[in-house]
Amino acid sequence: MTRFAVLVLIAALQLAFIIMTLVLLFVTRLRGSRWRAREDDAQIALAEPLQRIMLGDDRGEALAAALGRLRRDAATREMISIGGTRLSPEQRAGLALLVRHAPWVEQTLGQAPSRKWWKRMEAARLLVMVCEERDVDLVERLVTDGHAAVASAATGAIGGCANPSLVSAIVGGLPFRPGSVRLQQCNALRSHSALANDAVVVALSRPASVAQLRAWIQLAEVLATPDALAAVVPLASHADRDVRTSAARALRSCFSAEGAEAVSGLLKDEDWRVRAAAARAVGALNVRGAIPMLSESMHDESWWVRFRAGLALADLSMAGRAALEEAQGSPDPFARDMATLVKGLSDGSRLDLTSA
Amino acid sequence: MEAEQLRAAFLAALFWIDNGIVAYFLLLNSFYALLLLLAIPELMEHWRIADDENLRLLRGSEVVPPISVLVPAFNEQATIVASVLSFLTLEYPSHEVVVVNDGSTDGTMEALISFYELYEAPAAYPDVVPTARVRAYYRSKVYSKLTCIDKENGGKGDSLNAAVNAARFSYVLAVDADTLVERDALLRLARPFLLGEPVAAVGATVRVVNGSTVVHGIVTHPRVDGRWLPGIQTVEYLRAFLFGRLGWNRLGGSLIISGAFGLFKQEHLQAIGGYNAGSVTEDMDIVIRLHKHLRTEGSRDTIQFIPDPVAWTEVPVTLRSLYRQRERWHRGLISTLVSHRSVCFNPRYGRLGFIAYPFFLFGEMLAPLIEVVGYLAFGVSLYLGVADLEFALLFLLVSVGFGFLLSLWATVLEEVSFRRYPSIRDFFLLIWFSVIEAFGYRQVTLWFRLQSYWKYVRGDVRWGVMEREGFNRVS
Repeated sequence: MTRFAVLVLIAALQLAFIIMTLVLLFVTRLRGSRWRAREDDAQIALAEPLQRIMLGDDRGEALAAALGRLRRDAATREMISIGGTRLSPEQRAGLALLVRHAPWVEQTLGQAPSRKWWKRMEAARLLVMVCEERDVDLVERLVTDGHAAVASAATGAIGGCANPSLVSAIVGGLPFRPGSVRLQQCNALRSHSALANDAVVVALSRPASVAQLRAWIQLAEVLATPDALAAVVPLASHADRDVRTSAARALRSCFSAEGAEAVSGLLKDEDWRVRAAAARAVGALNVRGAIPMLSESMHDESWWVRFRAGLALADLSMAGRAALEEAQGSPDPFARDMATLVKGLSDGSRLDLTSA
Repeated sequence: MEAEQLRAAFLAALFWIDNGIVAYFLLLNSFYALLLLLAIPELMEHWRIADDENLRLLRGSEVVPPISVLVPAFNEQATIVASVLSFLTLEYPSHEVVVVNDGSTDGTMEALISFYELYEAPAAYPDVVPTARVRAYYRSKVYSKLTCIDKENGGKGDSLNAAVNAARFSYVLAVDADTLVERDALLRLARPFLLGEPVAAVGATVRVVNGSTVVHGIVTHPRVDGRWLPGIQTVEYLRAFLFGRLGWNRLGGSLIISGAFGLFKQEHLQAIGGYNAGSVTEDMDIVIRLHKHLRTEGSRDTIQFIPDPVAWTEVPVTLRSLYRQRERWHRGLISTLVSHRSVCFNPRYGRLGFIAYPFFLFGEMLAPLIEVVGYLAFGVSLYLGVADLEFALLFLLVSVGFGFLLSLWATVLEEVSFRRYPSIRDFFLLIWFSVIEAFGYRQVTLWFRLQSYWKYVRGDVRWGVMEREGFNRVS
């Protein structure tokens, strides 16, 4: 084959591709317009039934029927949108009872085992809207899904059907979830505080890896129950610095003598991250007895420790502020500069930085 | 006899040069096609998740990492107050803004001090990365999120280094003071963290603002500029970001994260000594050094590009400005690739050494030279009868067709995903500019890029001044 023939072949292929691409481009635009028109039609069809349920004229029968007349994908999308933003929890629960066994709901929930994550995510999002007690296995499957978006989407369903076994499975799986999903699931477990509290107290009392301990300490921090936080106190002396840092963070809401003593002790920790977290906790717990140690922390080699100590002193009444002024007159430039920086902040700015 | 032998050898050489040019063209365009193919599933993945309600709620919560926004500013007196305000009011649960006045000779610093009620704070920041002398640090009495640094002039990279030193948070976002960052862009940038993906840097899309309506720093009606120069650049940007950089996600990560909008993990930036203050393309230099650092350290962190966070930038509307920009970009490319030549085909750097670097070397840096050699060789071949006119015209047609096809695909990807240009006028303008790009614009930018070789050899490190129309007049 000559080079000319090769070029002719390429040119022919290219022309075919250009024509196909142009056709695709126009078809895509047309389909996009039709899709939007269908979406508008769906919203128009649901407007009146939605008004009825919102005004209390019915319990959602008309809306359930109108959803049933839509295509499955449109009904799913609208249900997720309406349930998430327009209806009260009671109205949503009533509507869920009416549509739970509709074919379009079963079809969408049937996507839960799909290999495509976006299909599983769609199932998870709908499940949040229509979840019943008997869906506990489905919830467990989706909240422990390997794809973070799916697990995150399903987390909203935890509140609807929690039982001890589900809560235990979620707590056990927390160390394996990405940070964002873990925190989201910790927050969701607050609605079943008693069950979660028991599970985390048991988990923290057993030997566990660093990753497990950090995840469970985070749950204890979110639950903030006295029992859960009490279970964190012994971990303030754990050998691993990440565990100690997590413990110091969590203990800033542990208003007990043991908690205050533990975080005050951590101000002398060998790791700066732990010291910084401890300084923050001491300020949050208003441990006035720790003012001398915080004053010492103003000379710490770590910027973050000095910063947290400065903010904590500013929070600790007159005595704390006096210590801060003392640091401002200190010959140590690091302590002096940090004290000047913190004292220059307005109350609002300081509050912002303390909680950041 | 000797003359005839020489002529025969010359003709043979010409023939092989012609063939080499054709082979180069086919290889390069096949690679672009591969990037396109890889970009499609990437784009679909991002598009499916970009507007998920659930993630949107999550993005507003404390699960996203705090971010320091770094804003280097040089002689931005007219716009700095508004720009900083737009960065302070970005939708994000926890961020700070670090503005660096890089020895401006206008009233940039005074404008900041007066509007934000800055007070001089002590230098309580560790100088991890060395920079030009810092005159003073300032904090705002009214905006706790704002820190300002006044320093002597040292260039953009140097300013970014000063900002990296003062940044409190473990992720830093480098932006240009004149870039319009969409309100939810930070939240979108945080998506990899929500999905639990370890990232060292995240790049995002930069779009062309010319022709769009801008109200209070927000692009309310994105439009394609009808003028040929900004219009063609709109297509160019779409092509570069929607499939150029996205496709690289599956090939080990791009070598470029736009200096106007890129997120980095601070510890990695500090580990590699910050930005190269002497580089005119500090954004490319930093990404290559980051790649090398991650490979050397065996880090699992990746360099990603995500398409939906958007920053808008103004592109040159005159040939003079375009010349300055493109010449500088290409000079920076040459300089960066030359200084990191040890990466090329080095097994230690894996895909960086065997795919990304060679592509940027042969497909980008040397492309203008090869293109000129191609034009000359084909001209001489035609004159001497080595190549026939039919072949040359067909080759020209195929090369124009391929550029058109790639630009069309960028428009397709835009249409099926984010569809920022909904009007039918803009739709046809994008197609029109895809067609005319090859006639004139391509040759003009080729000429600009060729001049960069000479300037590079002369050791020119100037940035040049970019003339701007300003957003108000754009609207």
